[in-house]
Order: sequence, then C-alpha cells, then structure tokens
Amino acid sequence: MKFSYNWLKELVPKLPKPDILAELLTMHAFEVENVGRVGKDYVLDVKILPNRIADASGHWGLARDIAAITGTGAMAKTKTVKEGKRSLGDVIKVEVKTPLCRRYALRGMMGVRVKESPGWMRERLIACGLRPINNIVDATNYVMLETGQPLHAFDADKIGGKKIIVRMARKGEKIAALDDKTYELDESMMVIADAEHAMALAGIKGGEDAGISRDTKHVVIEAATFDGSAIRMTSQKLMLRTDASMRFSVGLDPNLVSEALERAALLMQEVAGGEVLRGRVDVYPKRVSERKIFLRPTYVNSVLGTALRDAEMTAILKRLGFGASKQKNILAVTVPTRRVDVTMEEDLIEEIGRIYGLEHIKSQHPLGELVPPAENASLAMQERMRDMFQGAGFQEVYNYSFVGEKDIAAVGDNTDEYLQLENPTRPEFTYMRASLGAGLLKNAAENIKHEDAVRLFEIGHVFRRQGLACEEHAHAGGIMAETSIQKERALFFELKGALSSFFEAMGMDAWFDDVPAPGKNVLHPHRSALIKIGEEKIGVMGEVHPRVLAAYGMSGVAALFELDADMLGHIRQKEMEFRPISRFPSVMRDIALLVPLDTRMVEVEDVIENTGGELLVDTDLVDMYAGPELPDDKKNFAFRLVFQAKDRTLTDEEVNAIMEKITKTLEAESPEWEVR
Amino acid sequence: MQNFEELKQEALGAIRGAERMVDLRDAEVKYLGRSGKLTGILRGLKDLPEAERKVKGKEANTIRVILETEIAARTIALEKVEEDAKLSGKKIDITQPGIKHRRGGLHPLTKLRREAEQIFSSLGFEIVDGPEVEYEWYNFDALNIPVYHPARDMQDTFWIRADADPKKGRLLPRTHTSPVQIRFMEKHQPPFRIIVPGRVFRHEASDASHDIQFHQLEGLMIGRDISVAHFKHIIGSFFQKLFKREVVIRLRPSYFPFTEPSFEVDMSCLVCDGAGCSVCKQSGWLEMGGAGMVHPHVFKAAGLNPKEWQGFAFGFGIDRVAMMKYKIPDIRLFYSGDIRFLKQF
Repeated sequence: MKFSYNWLKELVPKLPKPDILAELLTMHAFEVENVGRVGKDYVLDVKILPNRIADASGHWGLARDIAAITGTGAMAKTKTVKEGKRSLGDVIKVEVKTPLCRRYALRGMMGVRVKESPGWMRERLIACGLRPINNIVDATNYVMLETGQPLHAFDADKIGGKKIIVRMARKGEKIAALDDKTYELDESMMVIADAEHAMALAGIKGGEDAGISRDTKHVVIEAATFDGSAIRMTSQKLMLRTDASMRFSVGLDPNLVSEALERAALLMQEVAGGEVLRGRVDVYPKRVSERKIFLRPTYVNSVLGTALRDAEMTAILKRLGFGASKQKNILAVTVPTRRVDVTMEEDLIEEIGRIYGLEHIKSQHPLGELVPPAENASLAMQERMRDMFQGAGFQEVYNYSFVGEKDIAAVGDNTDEYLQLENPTRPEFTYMRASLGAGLLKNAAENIKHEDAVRLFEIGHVFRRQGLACEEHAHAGGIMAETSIQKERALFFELKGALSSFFEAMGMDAWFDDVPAPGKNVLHPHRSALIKIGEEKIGVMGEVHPRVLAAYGMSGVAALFELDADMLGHIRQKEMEFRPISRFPSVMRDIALLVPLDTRMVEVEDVIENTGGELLVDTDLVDMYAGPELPDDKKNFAFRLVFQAKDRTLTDEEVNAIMEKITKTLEAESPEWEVR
Repeated sequence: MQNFEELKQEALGAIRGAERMVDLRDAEVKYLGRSGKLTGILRGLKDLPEAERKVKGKEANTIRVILETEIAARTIALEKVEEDAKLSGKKIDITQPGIKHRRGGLHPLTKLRREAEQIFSSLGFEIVDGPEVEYEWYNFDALNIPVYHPARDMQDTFWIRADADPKKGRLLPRTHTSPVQIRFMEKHQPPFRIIVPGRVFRHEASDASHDIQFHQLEGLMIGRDISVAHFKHIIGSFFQKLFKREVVIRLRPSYFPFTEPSFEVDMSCLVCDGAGCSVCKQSGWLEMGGAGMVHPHVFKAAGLNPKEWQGFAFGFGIDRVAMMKYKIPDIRLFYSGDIRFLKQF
C-alpha cells in the first residue's frame, strides 16, 4: 500500500526522514518495500500485514503506529460537521436484512456541484495509486486513504422508493457494476438495494444505476462494516477484487464508521459545496466495545526471552493506545476496538516485542539436556539408497510431481487412478504422478541428445487415488539409456547387475521373477522382471517398451526400474555375522553344457547346485554362447564350480566323483542336454 | 709374471670401463675367474719360498678384495643403468586423460538438505517427514487458517479434484511443510525439537525465482520455556555453520496465522556483508524465511495444552538457500533433469 510522506508528516510533526522512517517501520511494524520520490513528496510502499489492515491501512492509522514507535505525539484534531436544517431521516430510510452487515450508516448532502477535485486532493490520490474521478468519488476515496474505511456515494435521486435495503441477492439477480461489467449473483452475496434493484455489491463495488454523474445534485454517503468472510467469498466467486473488498475481507472495526463518515461529509462539503443534512442514519445492532486482556509479565519475558520490567511493558502498551493497569502480578489491558488483531495474551506479547525491538532480544543457548535425536528408519534408508545409486554411476534428478494425460497414456495407465488437479497451471501438469517412470523417460530423452549414455535416478513420492483418499508412497526409480548398443549386450543384464550389487550391498535377498501376463506395461514384455524379497513384490525392472520410447521421441535403448522405498525401509536387513574362512584350498572345475536355445540358465544351475552337495560352495555362469559352430537350435553354457571343505584338503578323487554325479544328473534331466 | 701394481691397474681399468653387465662379467672372469690372471698368480705362489710366498700372498689377496669390492660397486651401478633403461622404455605421457569410472552424483538440493540436516542433528533436532498430498485440515484449519480466512490468499493453492473428507476436508498438494507440525504434535509429547524437510507446491506463475514446486525446511522446538531468544540462537548457529562464516541474523515483525508473535528472518548479505549490493538489492540483508512462536490455537488443534507448552517454529526454502550457496540463477534448473547442470555439484 502506498503512503504519502507529506501526508504522514501532517499527522506526525516530528516525522523522521523518509529513509530512516522506512527502516523504523521495517524493523518495528511493516516492511517498506520502496521509497520513491514523486514531485515534492515521497511515496512509501508499505506492506501492511493482513491482520493490521483494520487499523493501519489509512494514513491516520499508520501515523499512530509511527508515533508509538518513535515515542512522539501525533494527530491533529478534526473539525465537526456543520449540519443544515433538513433531516436525513426525512429523505431516506434504511433497512438491514442480514446480520452479515454489522453496521450501516449514512450521511446526506444536498446541492453539491460535481466537478474535478482540487489539485492537492488529486495529487495525493495519484501518489497513493488511485485515479481521480470527480470531487464526490474522490472525497470518499481520500477518506478511505486517510482512515482505512471504504466509503461509497450514491446519487440520492436515483434511489428508487427513497429506501436502502441491505439484503442477500436473489439467485440470478444481475448488477451492472461501475467497471462496465454485469455480474450474476447468488443468495450468498450481499447487495445494497433500493426498493427494486441492487445498487451496489456490498463492500465490493458500486453499481452503474445509482452512481455519481455530472448531473448529481444530492448525495448519500455510505460507511458500513460487512462480515469479512462474506465479502471475501463473494469477491472470490465473482473474481472481482477491489480496494474496498480487500479491506473489508479482513474484517474492519465497526467503530471506524462514525469518524470516517463525519470526515467524508466535512470534506465533501469543502470540495463540492452543498448542505449536510441533519443527523445520520446508523444501523448498528451489536455495538463492539473494548476488549480486556489479562497479561502476565512473567509470561511475556518467558516467551520473548527478555527481562523487561512491568513498567516498561505498560509504557509500550500506552504508547500504542492500549489501557494498562496493574492488578497484583497481572496487567489488565484494554484494547482499542480498532485493533481487531489483538484478542489474546500472545498478541500483546507481539506488540511489546516489536515496539521494544526484536533486535534487542539477545540470543540464548537453550538449556536442558540434549537428547541425541532418534533416527527415522525410512528416511535413513532413502539416504543409503541415494549413496548406493550414486556409487553405481547414477546421477540423481528431481522431477516435477505432476504429469499430463500424455504421460499417463504413454505408460499405459488409466487417468482414473490418478489424483487430478482442479486448477493446473499447465495441461502437462494436470495429475499427480503415480510413478517415477514418466519423469525419468523425459530426462533420458532430453539428455541422450548430448550424451552417449546416461544413468539417472530419483527418489520421490508418488500418489494414487484410493476412494476419497490418496495413497502416497516413496519410490526409488532409475533409468539407463544409450544412444546405441552392440548386439551382444543387453541393457537388461546391465541393469540387473547394477540392482543385484545394490541389493547385496544393502544386505537384502532380492530375486528377479517373471512378469505375469505382460499387458499394457511400460516395459518390454520379454525383457522385464519383477523384483521380490521373499514372496513380496518390491519393484519392477526391465528394458523400456519400444512403443514407450517412441512416445517420448527417444532414439536408442533404455532400461528402467522402480522400487517401493517405503517397503524397503521396513524390510529387516540380514544380520551380518562372521563365518570362518576355510584354511583348506578350494578346487575349481569347469563344466560346459549344450542345451536347447529356450533352456533357462536357472534350470541348469538349480540341477548343479542341488546335486553338488555341501562341498560345492559356488556356481558361476562364465560363458553363454550360441553361434555358427553350434547346431542351430542349441546354445552352450559354461559354469565354473568351486569346491571346498571346512575341515580338510579335498582330493581329486572326491571332486571327480561329485563332477561325475553332476554330469550324470544333468544328462538324465533332459535328453537334449549334453555335457561336453 | 706381471707386476702386481700393473695387474691391479689393468683389472681396475677393465672393471671401471665395463659399460654393460656382460663386459663386467668378462672382466671378472678374466682376473678373478678360475683361470683368471690373479687366480693364476695365487696358484703360482705355492712354488715360491715360504717368506716370499707370505708377502706375495698377502699382497695378492689385498688386490683380490679390492677388485671384488670394485666389481660389486660396478654391478650395482650397471644394474641401476639397466633398470633405468628398461623403465624409460615404458615411459608414458602422463598428460593423457585417465580412464574414468562412470561417476554418479547427488542432486544439489539433496546435498544442501543433508548439510542442513547434519547441522540440525548436531543441535539435537530429529528429522521427520509427512505426506505431500495433505488434507485441508492439516494444511490450513489446524494451523489457524479457517476457510475464508484472508491468509488462505497468502499461499496460492493447487486443489485436488475430489469430494471432501467429512472431517479432514479436501485434498491438496501441501503448500508448506507446516502440516507436519500438527501430525507430529498429535503423536508426541513435548519437549522435542524436529526439522521437516520436504517438497511443497504453489499455484503460481513460474519464473527464475518461483516455481510450482520447491522444498522447505520446517523446524519446531517445544518445551516449557522456549523463547524468541532461543530461536535467535538456534537459527544463528545454523546459518553460521551452513555458510561457514560469521553472519548476523535479524528478526522483523510479520504475520503468520500459526505463530504469534511472528517474524521474518533476515541474514546479513553474504556478498557485501551488509554494505549493500545488487544481490541484496542494496538492503544489506537477505530474506531467509519466516518464524514465530507457535500459536495457542495450533497447540489446541494438535491436542496439546497451550498453557503448558511454548516454543518456536520456522521455515525456509531449501531451493532459495541452495541458489544462494551455489550461485544458481534460476530455480527451474533444479527440476530440469539436465545432467550438464546436475553434474556440476
């Protein structure tokens, strides 16, 4: 909000220089965002805090706070209005039909001359960011800048039936507002109406019909207090925010009405002539009176960490216009009604703190025993995973938590399972992501344009609709992508290798299982696997389906994995325990086996391990070959077997016997298996 | 028969003159070998009379020791030469690039968050998290921001399209990490100190310093007598440790519905130390975040008695601090997934 320095200076004679004033306000009340020179004046852009609009959004109010901060006096007294003979009550009647209007007051003027406002008034309005219109409207705006109370002026001759009714709008009722737009209203919106029509949207904007024009002779000035929430709601529904609605919506002090109304009548007479009608119409059913709060000085010092004396607190409160008297160990504080923000002890502590100066509070080491903080197992697991993936050559990325319909379609999901935003900023960010895949695919597609190979991972939350609720999990996902790959390499196995090392290092017995009935999946149906621990599925991995690669405009190949990090966080890790290292040498033997092309490695390995007995301590596939030297439908597996005993050196005979048994069992397993 | 001295000089000449190990071995054989010259002399001694044999024998032995010593010395020298020659054949150009192991990396926001967590852990704070999609109750109402409270305008909110839960209201991507204050206080009895790092969302136009998502770090310290003075100490130590230098912290009055009193937290500018520069817009101060003493309504909403407990809460943007610390000009780079950016950290 903009404030005129010269205007403030009229109110606080000992006003500090503009830059010092800005600093004082920033440190004790409101941030001053800018001080600019305008002609002979300075304009201060002050961020009046939302809870202080009621008392400090006018020049009078801000001047009062400045005087409290600087400890000087303030405020000129205002003159009283000279009334004419005719009574306002004879001219207009008011009926308030809704409790959302807390006070409704009017003053009347006859025989005004509508014209341009005097220069000084126009200058101040402009300095404070308002556009001068005519002397009547300008006077109401001027008083708003002065007091913080929005006012409205009606052309008295245009009020049908000489009656003003404050009521809720009828459904479908329309009003042509002063901004040349027509608004359609509903029953939750309050209007100021005459006998027939709505003349204004209460607290937001005046209507065209009863507005001030060049020909206006008689004026009714309105000052009212409306329920803040009601104004805010209407303003939001109609997407119509005005200076008035902004002030009303925080809740104003009804007692501000009288001084603003008197001031407006006085000023209007000064700039537009005419006669002020006798008396006011004032509907104010529930008078608001000063609040009393009991304040414990010990509590003040305990919260602020200060050692202020009672007298210091009292002095500060009095400077702010609060009443304070000591009753035993407690201060009884009366709060002026303009301070709608001060309703309890803590609010008074804030006042004392800021006027005393937060900079004077000395920092203090908290006493008490320092208990070592507990470790959050699930978060700690995520951190370990980050270190592991980094070590395996993956770069961490952070993607947006939002995806679009295209992403959902590309990964073969249905939008029904996704949480949808009501008010997205962009169509590609309409849903909350349900997996990390889409983000990683986008990253890979972008990066592969300038890299030969990328490895990326992300750990983040994903969301799925679950009835009315949201099911949220932490996932860990990653992608490997290369612009091209030699025929004999399969990215699947590189990813599987990386993940196997990861699980081994994490102390988890994970295994890779077949994907049941591959369908709409994001992964290649024949190059993907489920990742399980025990029988529990904890993730998926595999090469990316070519259809999905195409959807992301990606050339080359990619493999993806996604793990449920929450589940991993709950899995008990294997206890590490020392096993003695055998003092006796191990014996290595190789075995090669010709099998049909569709035989799976694990089938052969199972037979070897089940036959080898306890002396067979390790089985490794060292080679897999299919090619021109072999029969068309065959491939060759080569395994390296390691034998070792805990208590003796194995003899050749012993190992030969086991090897023979393995060979026989393998050949007995299938007529198509041939040990070479 | 040759004069001893001549023989000695001749042999020494041959040993010292040997340029290769083979030459040295030849010299050794020629003088000390089985049919070497000196050996021959020694062998011939037995024909001499005893007195002369003694003298000559002694002399011959002295020469032998001298020659052997000389050969040993020369052997070492020649071995060194040969080894040098062999190694220099393996000379490489050490300016050629090393063979790189594929390097992964952590996101700069992870790095900053970890640093912050470590500092707060050392100050006794426990790390806590909460859901990113929240109920209206936790995100607003329990934090003293009821429906149609003007403070709801302070944070532009994304809303999830769904019917409201009868008790907890509508779903939304949380606008701040403060809901975790409520969730934690519902389940824990003070005293405690926690921090909550996490992702938050705002419905706003994005530019170099704003984005629709960013990360906050929330702090909460509750006890019987926790004060503003304690907050000053904690936040001051934190920023001092994070930026590894002396910093000045100042508090300014502010308004947040969930704290009373409320403050803005400023830190002396890292670039100019308060003198005023373009980074701090000539103010000498950088805005770090918001803070305040927990509002009694918030204690009540979380089921704690505000008459028994008091304490502070604070929050700042991790992205903003990371931008300051690493001199990153645009917040959107964090979410670009561009490894040319990410690899720099």
